[in-house]
Amino acid sequence: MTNSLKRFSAPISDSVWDEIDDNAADILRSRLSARTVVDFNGPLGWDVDSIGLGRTNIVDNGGADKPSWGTRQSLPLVELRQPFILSLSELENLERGAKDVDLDALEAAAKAMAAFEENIVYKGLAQAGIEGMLSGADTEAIVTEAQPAAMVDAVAAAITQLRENNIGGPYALVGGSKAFDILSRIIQGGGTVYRIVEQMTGSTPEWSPVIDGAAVVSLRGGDYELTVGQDLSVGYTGHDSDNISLYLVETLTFRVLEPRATVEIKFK
Amino acid sequence: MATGYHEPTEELSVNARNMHRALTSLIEELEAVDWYNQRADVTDDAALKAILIHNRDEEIEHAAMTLEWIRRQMPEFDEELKTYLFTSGEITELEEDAMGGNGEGSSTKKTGLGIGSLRKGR
Repeated sequence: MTNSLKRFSAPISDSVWDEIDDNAADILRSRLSARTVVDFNGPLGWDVDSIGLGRTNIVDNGGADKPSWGTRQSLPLVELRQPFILSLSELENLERGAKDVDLDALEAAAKAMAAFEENIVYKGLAQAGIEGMLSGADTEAIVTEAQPAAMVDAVAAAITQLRENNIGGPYALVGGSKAFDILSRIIQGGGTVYRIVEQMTGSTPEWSPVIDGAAVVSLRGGDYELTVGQDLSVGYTGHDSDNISLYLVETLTFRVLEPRATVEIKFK
Repeated sequence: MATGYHEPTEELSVNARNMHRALTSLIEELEAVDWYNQRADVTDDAALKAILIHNRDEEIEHAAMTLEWIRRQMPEFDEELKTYLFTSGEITELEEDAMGGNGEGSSTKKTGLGIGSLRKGR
């Protein structure tokens, strides 16, 4: 069962829906770094409320003449919903073939959704019982100068720490804009830091809009699990003569299964 | 002999003629359901009412059997019936639900952006 997004009721054509979807998907794909490094479970459907953790909380141990009982542990899915408004006349221009249509509100909504998902995965969401990859990491963060050579050393130290914890590779560097600025520099001896880090980790670095520094993460699988019920979708709320109200929606939760599979790199 | 052809009979395929027979039969059965239903509704004789309702229900059975034959012959009927029959909720929203998040079909039928995992090689 999927969420009824009421797209049928919207006063816009299929080609406009395609344009809206494509724009949203492009922005989201370029900003959802966590989905490039964690295991993905789903989409399980709109009607899925929680995932089982395979454990029981024993409440009463019972006795000779009465059974023990407990409750099964589960993790509820978080429902994200980001409304946005588009101009109907701008969407009509889209149908006329205009290529410079104002979809800023859609872009902002997609960025907000991506940032929220990224924050959940890396930093957790305590109200929803979610521990993040960085916030829940059981490793020693590496503090380094924001310089090319220091960055390479920090990645090497992170990989060493992962190996010492028996966390196999390949690995990936996930970093924010500051880290990517360093990655784009030429290091003494030739080549960009990006290429060197790529060779060291075994995969291309991934940019995240929410990470301040960087992190080296194992890609071996089985360490982190992003569960999605309803995957990112655009729905319709209503419209008046000028504007149409739409929203991005998603349900998800995240689990850290091995807290030693990430080493954070912090810049001084 | 089935009547009501809109194209020269000799130009129609065997399948098209059989489908015409079935569709015509379905229309007739549904008409009969309507007739019996109306008669049962107005009669003041309880025994006759019971017979008319029985007959109406027989016609419903005939209509269902014919519809099933049509469903087996025409995939488009099969698809639509699977979408709308034996469901609950808003009928006008069932098509959307039926399409799932696979991104197939028209945009109004689509429910997800199809992002999923972005792990490379998946």
